[in-house]
Amino acid sequence: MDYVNVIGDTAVIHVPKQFNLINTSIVKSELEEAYKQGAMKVTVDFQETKHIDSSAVRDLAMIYNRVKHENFKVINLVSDEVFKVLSSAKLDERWNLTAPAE
Amino acid sequence: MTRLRILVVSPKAEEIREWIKDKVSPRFNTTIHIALDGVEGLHKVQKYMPVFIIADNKLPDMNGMSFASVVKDTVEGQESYILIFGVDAFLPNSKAEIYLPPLDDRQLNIFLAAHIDSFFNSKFFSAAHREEYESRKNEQLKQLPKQLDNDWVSISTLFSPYDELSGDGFDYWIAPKSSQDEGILYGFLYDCTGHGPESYPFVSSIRKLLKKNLQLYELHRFKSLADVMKKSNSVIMDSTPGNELTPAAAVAFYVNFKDNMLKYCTAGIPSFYVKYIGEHGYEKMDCRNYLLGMFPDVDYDEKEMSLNGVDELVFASDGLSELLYHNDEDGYGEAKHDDVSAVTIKVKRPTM
Repeated sequence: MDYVNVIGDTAVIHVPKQFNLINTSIVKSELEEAYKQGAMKVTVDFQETKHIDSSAVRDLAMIYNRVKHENFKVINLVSDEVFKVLSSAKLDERWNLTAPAE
Repeated sequence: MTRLRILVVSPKAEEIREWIKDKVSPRFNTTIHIALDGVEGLHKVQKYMPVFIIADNKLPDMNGMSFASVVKDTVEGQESYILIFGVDAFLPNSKAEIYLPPLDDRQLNIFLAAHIDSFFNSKFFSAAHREEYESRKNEQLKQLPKQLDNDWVSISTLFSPYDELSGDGFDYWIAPKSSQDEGILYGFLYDCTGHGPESYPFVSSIRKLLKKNLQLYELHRFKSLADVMKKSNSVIMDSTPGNELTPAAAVAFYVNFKDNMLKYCTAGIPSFYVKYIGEHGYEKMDCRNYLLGMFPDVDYDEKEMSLNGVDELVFASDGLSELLYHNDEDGYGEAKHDDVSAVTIKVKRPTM
C-alpha cells in the first residue's frame, strides 16, 4: 500500500505532500484494507504534508470518529499551513496539536 | 438490460482490462474493448461507439490528448466520456473529461475503479431517474437567491458545482422595510461533504436547517449567531445515525448597514475576505470553529467587526480559496477539485 502501512494493531497513514480530493480516495481504500488486516488504531503522520483541503479534513474527522479518540493520534505536524487548516475546525484542541515550531 | 461499451487504449490495455472487468456495474451488459495504439483506438471508437474511454497519454503512435481531441470531433465519439492517464504536461484543445497524472499501477488501478464506479452510478441514476435528476438540478439553481442591489448594498454570487449537483449553497435576505430591522442583511453559506445525487438529500436538509434557524434569529428567538450554529449542530447530531454522520462547514452572517457592523459565526469555514476602500487586494480573515455534524454539545463563537472603511465582504467555500491560494506544484491536473461558491457583499452606504 502506498500511503497506509500496518504495524501491529495500528494503521499508519503517511499523508502525502498535498492531501486533497484527488488522493483521499486512495487513502480511504488503503485504510479499509488495513482495518481488514486487524488495525484498530490510526496514526496520521504529516511529516511530508504541506497542504490539505476541506475534503481531507472531513475525511480525517470521520476516521477519528470511527476509531474513537483513544485510538487516534497525529504525529510529525511540521507545516504551519496544515496546522492552520486543522485549527480552523478546532481539531487542534481535540487532537492535542501544537503549532509547529518556527 | 442496457448494453454499454468501454474502450481501453494503451500498450497495456489487456492488463487494464483485467483490473476493471470486475468493477463494472452488473446493472449493465458491459463489454470492454481494447486497442494497443491510437490508430487502432480510433477505428474501434468508430466501430463500437464506447460510452467510456480510458486512454494512455503515452501511446506508441500519438499523444493520448491528441487522440482524445480527434475522438471528440467524430460523430461516433463526441458523446464518449474520456479519461486520460499519465499526463505530465497539458496540451491545449485536448477535450477529455478527466486527466490523471503519472501513477504507478496500484494507484492507477484504484483511481480507475473509483472513476468507473462513479461513472456507472451516475449513468444508472441518470438513465433511470433522468427526470428526477434534472428536477433536482433545477431545484438547486432556483433556490439560489437573486442578486441584490439597493441603497445600502450590492450582492453578487458565484455558484460553480464540481459536477452537476453541488455540495455548496447559500442564501441571504434583507429585513423588510416595515420592520424594526430595516437595513439588516441576514445570510449563510455552507459546504457539505460530497456532491452529486447521493449527497443531495443531506445538502438539501442542511440548507433548510440553516435557513430555519437564521429566520428564528431574525425573529429574536435566538440571541446570537452562535446559538444558530449550536442548534443546527444539535439537530444534525440528534437526527443522523453515527455511521452516517458527515461533517459540513458553514458560516452565518448578519450585516447591519445602519450601525456599520458585521456579526458572523463560522462552523469550519476557514476564512472570509475583506476589501477595504482604496485597497486593491483582499485581506483574509482566519476563522476558527467546529464543523457541523462532527462533535455533539460543542459551543460556537460569534464574532463582530466594524464595517468602517470596508468596501466588500466575501464569504466563500474553500473551493474558491483553493483556487486563489493553492499553488498546484504537483499538477494534479484538474482545473478545480471542489465545488466553488461565494457571496460578495459590496457595502454602498458610506461608512467613513
